[in-house]
Amino acid sequence: MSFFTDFIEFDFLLYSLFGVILISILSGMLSPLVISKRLAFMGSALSHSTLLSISISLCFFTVNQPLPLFLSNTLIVILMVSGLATFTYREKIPTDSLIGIFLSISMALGIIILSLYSKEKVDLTSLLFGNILLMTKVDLVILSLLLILVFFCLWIPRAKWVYLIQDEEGALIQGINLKFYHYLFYILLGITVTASIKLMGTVVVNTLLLVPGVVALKVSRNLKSMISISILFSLFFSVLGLMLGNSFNLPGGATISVTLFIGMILFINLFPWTIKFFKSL
Amino acid sequence: MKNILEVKNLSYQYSENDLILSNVSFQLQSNTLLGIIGPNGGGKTTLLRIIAGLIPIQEGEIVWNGKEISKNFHKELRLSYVPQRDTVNTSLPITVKDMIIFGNLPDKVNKRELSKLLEKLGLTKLKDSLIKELSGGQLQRVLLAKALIRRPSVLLLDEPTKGLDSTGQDQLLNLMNTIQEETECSIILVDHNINQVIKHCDEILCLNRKHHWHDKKELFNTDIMNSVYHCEFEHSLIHENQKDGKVTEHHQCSVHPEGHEHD
Repeated sequence: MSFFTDFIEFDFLLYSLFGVILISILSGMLSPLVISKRLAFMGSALSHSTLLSISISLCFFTVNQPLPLFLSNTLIVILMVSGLATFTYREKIPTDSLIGIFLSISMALGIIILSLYSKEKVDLTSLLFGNILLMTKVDLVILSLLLILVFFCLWIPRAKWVYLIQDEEGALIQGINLKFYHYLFYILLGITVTASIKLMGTVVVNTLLLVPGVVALKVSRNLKSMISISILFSLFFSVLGLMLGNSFNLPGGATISVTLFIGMILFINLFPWTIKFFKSL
Repeated sequence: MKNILEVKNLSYQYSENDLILSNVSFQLQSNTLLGIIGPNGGGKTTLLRIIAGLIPIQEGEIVWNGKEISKNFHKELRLSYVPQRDTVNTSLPITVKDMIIFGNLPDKVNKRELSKLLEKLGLTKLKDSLIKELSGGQLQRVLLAKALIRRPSVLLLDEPTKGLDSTGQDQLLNLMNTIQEETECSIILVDHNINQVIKHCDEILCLNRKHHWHDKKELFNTDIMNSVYHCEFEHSLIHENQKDGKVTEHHQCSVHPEGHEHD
């Protein structure tokens, strides 16, 4: 029974469970947009570039100061992604090249700053795969507020988002502010990655930004089901991964990543059969 | 009929020494179908995008209904733009019906109007299909429906027949004629198929960078086409050496090895 009871018994596990739930819903909302906007590489670049923002923030704050650390991280990430958004806005050079440069340079700078000025030693493995022991109540509040923000930013102008993705120029002529939404998307993605990195790490955040969207775009027949499938898939397999990791004493973040991948294979292959089964009833 | 569009001495260059449009001037009357033809790289799409307000004007003037291009001119004019089909992202699971409805944002769509439009464009059976499952011709009709749902007074189309067979091209342009007759809108389309453009359009703009010709299609002939098309490369080189972009002396090209005058 430790599969479930551990999460009630130990506070840190309960916090990490709530953290995983919030992050998986957040990434479930953003993931289909990341995939359909062909920004898969962007998620990877953003999650890795947080190394730079974390290392700069760690020059001023410690890991035990979650709120100032988050605010400092967020501010730096917003500045970085705004710069990236400027360079990629209606750019004719393939944007993946610019994003690639951004990724490698920000990581390299992050390592240099970390080695020179950081107030404390940071475990780089935990940056890659996260650390469930680090989750605090403050982090949960930050994630909850972020979830509300992302939900409203995506839900209220949802038709505009869809229009922008499928036909940028048509949207421009229709009077939709292309630039505003371009920057908004980069910033939302940047803040989400920053808030998730402590618990999930760069690798897991990246998986969460890609896998649910791929699954949803592959199997859904309309926009509502796309968002629902993406969120539910992300939520179910992330929580399952966390519980499996805890039960078998495996690293939580890495187990979530692998569980999401296995879930994707199963879901895509079994989904048509499931639909047929329910229709035959 | 009144002038709906007036292009005055429009010039555009993407970089220095790469003048893609030079002193292009023409007028378009309302309820007219204008076909823009010309060789690849001749500036057709650039001109259409400038007219649509997607590229800022560098030199010259564009007057829509007596007013210069302003921030809200698309809305005031009820202008719709149909981009090249391959620029449309079809990865999202959007049905044909929803895609057309998006065309009228932020306003809602009247259901009866939508079903009429679907019927007119032969999309009724496809209304619940996903756009990623459509053929090229079907997707083109959906894009057209999306543009028409706004009841535009001006419709701009960038290579709508691209990738369609000759029957498909003919059907689509016949449809354009019907739409123009019924809605009395002005249509500007860019196309490569000279025969189809001559058959379906009222006026022709033949454009090749620094050379252009515009008038009623009855006045268009092979001489005009040759003078705009044939010297695509030779004349570009000669004209590049002229400060004012005009060549008045006789010079040679592949069609006229003995030399000829060109203005």
